[in-house]
Amino acid sequence: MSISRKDVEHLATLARLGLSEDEKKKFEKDLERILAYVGELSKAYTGDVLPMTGGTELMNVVRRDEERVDSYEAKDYLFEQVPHKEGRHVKVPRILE
Amino acid sequence: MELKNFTISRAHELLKSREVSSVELTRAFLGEIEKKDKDIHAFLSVHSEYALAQAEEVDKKIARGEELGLLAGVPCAIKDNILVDGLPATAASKILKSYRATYDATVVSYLKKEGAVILGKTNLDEFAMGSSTENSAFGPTRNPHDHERVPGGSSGGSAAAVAAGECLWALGSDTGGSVRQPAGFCGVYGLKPTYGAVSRYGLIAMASSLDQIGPFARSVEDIATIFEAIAGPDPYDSTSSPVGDYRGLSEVANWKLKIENLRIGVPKEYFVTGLDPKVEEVVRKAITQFESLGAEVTEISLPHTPYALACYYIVMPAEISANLARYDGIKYGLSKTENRKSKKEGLQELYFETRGEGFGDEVRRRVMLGTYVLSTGYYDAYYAKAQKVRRLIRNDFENVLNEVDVILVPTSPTLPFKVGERTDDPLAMYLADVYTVSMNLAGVPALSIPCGSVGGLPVGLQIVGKHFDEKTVLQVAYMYEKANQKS
Repeated sequence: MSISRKDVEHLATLARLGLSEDEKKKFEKDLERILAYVGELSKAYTGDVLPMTGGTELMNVVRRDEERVDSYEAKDYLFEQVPHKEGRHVKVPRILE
Repeated sequence: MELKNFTISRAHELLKSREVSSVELTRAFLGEIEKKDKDIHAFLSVHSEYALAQAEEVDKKIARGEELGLLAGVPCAIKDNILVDGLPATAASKILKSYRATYDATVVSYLKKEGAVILGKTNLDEFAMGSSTENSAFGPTRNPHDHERVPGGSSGGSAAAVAAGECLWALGSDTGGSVRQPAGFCGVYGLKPTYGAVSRYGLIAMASSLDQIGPFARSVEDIATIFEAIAGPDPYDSTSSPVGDYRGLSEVANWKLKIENLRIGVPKEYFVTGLDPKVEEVVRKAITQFESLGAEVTEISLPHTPYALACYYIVMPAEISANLARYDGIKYGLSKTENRKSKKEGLQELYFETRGEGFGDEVRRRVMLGTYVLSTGYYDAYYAKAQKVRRLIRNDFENVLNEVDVILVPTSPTLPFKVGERTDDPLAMYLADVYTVSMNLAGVPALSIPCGSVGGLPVGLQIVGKHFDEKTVLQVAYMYEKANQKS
């Protein structure tokens, strides 16, 4: 599978990753090699085997539909990690014009 | 204090008999870190006051004559992608450089209840992506056996800290070999539990269907002790399983497995071109030893082995691309609102700048790879296909483990390589994982044990068992350890 500069730019946009022009060039080369390697998987015969969708055979793990109340103060502690805030509001850039 | 051949069990005896206090033990190890870590760089942060406070609490318990758990007062280290409330949790990334954990991982809460003394947080490849610890944003860790060589990865800091005697044991995480491979490279024991045996709550997620937290230690009994303390279902991790019953697992006196009843399988697909002949020689010698001790060793086949690495490098990046979407500069960590490359002001720019600068090369590489294999038009050919191959790999293990009790394979195809040797070639680095990824894909438990060395460089052997059968894996390792103990 050959990867182009446009493909790399598209992937970077989807993944919200800022890349410099040099980085785009380097990743284009890397991704091409890696995709060629993993693409070999197409040669594996899988017939109609059921895909494995996770790491466990557990299903429908549930808990009681009850509210778990944390203290107001506990939330203060979480807030210390927020980079931009005003009082108890997380501050974000404008999203509506 | 002579710390050289200390194990958890030895430390526990001395603490119980009051020959040594936890504070003395903790000071001794902090001293070792001070002496050695400038050369090894196993630790990203050391917390002396915090550790000594924990040690004092244990000493008070001892003074009151209270019952002492095996891990109480014993100094350990925790990989920096596992959360310890109030301490940094950087995942060795610039994007979390300023982040302090706001809660304990479930395993950490168990360890704190046991009275374990946490000395600090250890180095890793950024977001656990790597096989050498060279992808850390804060500098590599060195192999204590040869400072020009890597300790392995991604849990290189934890492995090196134990090997160098900077702590008695450590926690790491294993997604594709990240506990076992560094254990092999550093000459210590490292366990990847069965998927679901240990809670992932509080482990910074890399690939959620593959990640498991696992211990590093200097003896099999120590590994069993730590594993018993951290294993068990957790309501905060719905993938954690109630199936494994590990109570009393670490009581060696109850280990009754006889070697003459042991059936060992050796898969031919693991002994092919690419395996360093010097490593093969050491591994084969260890396997032969099991035979001469009375075990039945047969050649078996895990036919889908050649596809395992490709399968892993599709499934894992896909999950990574989802798990790392949360690092957006809003809730925590790096947030690029100034000194930007672009002059624009909006939300998108915040994402691009924060993630572009905060994530290193390997992280961005894998996120893009994951984005690609999940995208429209490629999903079926790559991701859906890989999920089917994964089922076949799991079936291979289940089928074989109906006929044998454990499987023995090398941990790594090569000896520890030099720092800088593989950093230009991502694919060459990925090949380091070829013997470890299958066990994560299948979910089976695997323990790497030291089985010899070549020119002073450690060689590791993996013992692989049935799902939730860590007990057999540990007993087999114990047999080998006892047979090779210098009296």
